[in-house]
Amino acid sequence: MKKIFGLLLVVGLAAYVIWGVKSNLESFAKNMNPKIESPAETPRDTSRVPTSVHPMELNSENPAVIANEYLTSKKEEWKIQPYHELRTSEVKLPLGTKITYSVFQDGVAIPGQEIQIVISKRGKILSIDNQYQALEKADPLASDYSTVLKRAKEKFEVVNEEPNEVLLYVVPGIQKPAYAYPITVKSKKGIKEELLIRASDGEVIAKAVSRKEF
Amino acid sequence: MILIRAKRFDTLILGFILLVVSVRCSRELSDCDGADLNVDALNSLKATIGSSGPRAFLVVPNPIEATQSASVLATDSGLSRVTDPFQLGGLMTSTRLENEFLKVRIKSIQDEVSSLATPNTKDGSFSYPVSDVHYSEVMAYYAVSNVKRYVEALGFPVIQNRPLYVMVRGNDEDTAAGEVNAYYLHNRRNTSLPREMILYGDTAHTPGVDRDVYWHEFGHLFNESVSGDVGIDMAGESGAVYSEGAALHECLADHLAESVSNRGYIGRWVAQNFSSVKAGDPLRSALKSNDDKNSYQNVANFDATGKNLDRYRLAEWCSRVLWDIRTQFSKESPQRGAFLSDRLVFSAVSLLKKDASMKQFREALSKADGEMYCGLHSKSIKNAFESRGYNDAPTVLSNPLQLSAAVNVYSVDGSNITKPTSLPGSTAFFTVKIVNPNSAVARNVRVQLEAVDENLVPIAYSQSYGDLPAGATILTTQANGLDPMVYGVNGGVPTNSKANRIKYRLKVVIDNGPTTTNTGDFGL
Repeated sequence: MKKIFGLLLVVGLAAYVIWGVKSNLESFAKNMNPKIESPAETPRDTSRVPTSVHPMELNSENPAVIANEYLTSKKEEWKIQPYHELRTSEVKLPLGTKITYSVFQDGVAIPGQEIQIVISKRGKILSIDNQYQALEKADPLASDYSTVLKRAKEKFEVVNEEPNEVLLYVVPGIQKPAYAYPITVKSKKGIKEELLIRASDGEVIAKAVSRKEF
Repeated sequence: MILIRAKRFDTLILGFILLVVSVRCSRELSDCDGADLNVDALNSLKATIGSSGPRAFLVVPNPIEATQSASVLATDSGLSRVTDPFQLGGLMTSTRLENEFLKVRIKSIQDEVSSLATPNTKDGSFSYPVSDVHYSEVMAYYAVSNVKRYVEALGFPVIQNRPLYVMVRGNDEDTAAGEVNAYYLHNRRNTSLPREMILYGDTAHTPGVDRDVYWHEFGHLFNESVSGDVGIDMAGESGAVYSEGAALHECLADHLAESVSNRGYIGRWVAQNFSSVKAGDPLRSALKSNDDKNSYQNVANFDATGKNLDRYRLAEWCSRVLWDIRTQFSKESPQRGAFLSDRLVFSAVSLLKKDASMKQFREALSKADGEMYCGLHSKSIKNAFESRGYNDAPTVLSNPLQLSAAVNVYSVDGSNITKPTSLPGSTAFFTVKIVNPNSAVARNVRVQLEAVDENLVPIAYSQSYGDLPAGATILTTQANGLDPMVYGVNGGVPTNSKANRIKYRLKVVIDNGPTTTNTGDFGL
């Protein structure tokens, strides 16, 4: 009786496996088919459409831990400097978790240097965007906001005098970031512009156009 | 006896291995559409934004769609017959159109509270004529809340670390007189400022009446959210007049509006403001087949007229590709396919880099499909791109593009541009000539300006020119219609510079070949 039961179990499992493998091979073959069809011509294939929904939390490991481990393994290769602090933020997405490491020096952000790692729900690294550069340490902050604002008002019509956080800006091609304040001004054409004014000399070192039109 | 035991043991091991293999092989049917998706909730979101709160009476999505009449006006009395009630959920108080995140205004953030819409019926509802600016305020609250809830229900976050102010009829001083427009300001660096969505135009077809306008603009905020607040168009944000990242931003904003409405086009109402659009036609469409935006080459190849340095052309092409993918998903599952497609597309956005390209996006879609849906749609995605002329694997170019540049230095004071008497404080504008000496197209050509020392500060440091066909040339001169002040890179010479000659580095970067680097210098 036990032998018959064992045999049935094996036969059942074998059939299940053959069905699974066949299904996967068909799917593989379909995807490998080089024939190009327009989407409208692609036949409806309901057998390949999932019929139920299951969360994909197969790996309970914290994505931040996975990202941190990866980052630690790359610290030398990416030449991450000891005076750069990497602060993390996380965004939970259907695909997984996007972890952004923002770079700071002495508590001041250096935008544009972010490292972003997307970890899948299975704990796999899906994407890495490394914008980090081993920048030199910035010179100390030379002027506070009120001084920079005063200088800016001599040249521009300042729209918003509310203090923005100081940041460290990297001029393209230059390896040492500079302290700068974002200040919104109205140009002589009457258009609002977001300028970055360098703290050391009041020079405009960037203009931002974050406007996205209809 | 020992033999029998061994056989049983073998059987058990074999069974275990087979079980493991079979579970792995059958994963596609059980685990391939990601985290829970509440289809009923997603469908119901399209109709309302809450079960409590005051009612709003609106003509959705706009009077033209609601009446199916291209000639209808906001003042037509017949609009009352196509007005529907909607519940406004999430308000902080039932008398003001705002909550902690979303704040509706008319002209500016500083509007007096007393000037804003309040309930105007005995039962506390908002019921304004379509032509009244307060109607647009109500539409703004409804539309933005609605689309925000939709993307959240799909499982995406919306960045809310600063409030979003929506101005339904912005100050004229912030735009050209009589301009009809709408835009979104993320104010990435200006941390003291909120996010802003500003609509302009006090016309017979004022944008504030059209739900699509809010949905599209919200799409920009949503792109920023999914990117982790880093963005996907750094070049555009630094002054590039054209970039593939900018085109993707628009494409995805259009696709969000088209998806949530399930209509495949946007802006039939607001489009009536533009003489270039035929009466009754939408502003942009993922469905249109009788124009030149169905072929990738038509929208991406550099054209001497500069017509393809318009982000909306590539954006519209891209929205058609995405609509094809969505259509395929819907064929596979009429109930859930569209939602699964939306989730795929916006998941792909999370994989884009700071200066996103169409190549990256194409790859991101496949990667997201592989991760979320076991790669079941890889062929559909490939088909959608290829059937519209996009080649996944362009020829890798062996020769770098040829670059030469001329520099013109000006003193720029607003619109007053003069020849300077000294270098410090001046601005250098680069005229570039780029030749593709190869026998195949160069993909996503962009020029980047870098400083060599502290005597130059690149401002508009990157410009994109699309794809450059074999043997073709890009020349940014005013005579060519490509004013280098608009279509070129530029940089400032600091006022404290002591140099007589200013050094610079120019690069031409492409997706499918080597980078070209030139160094040079300029003086007065």
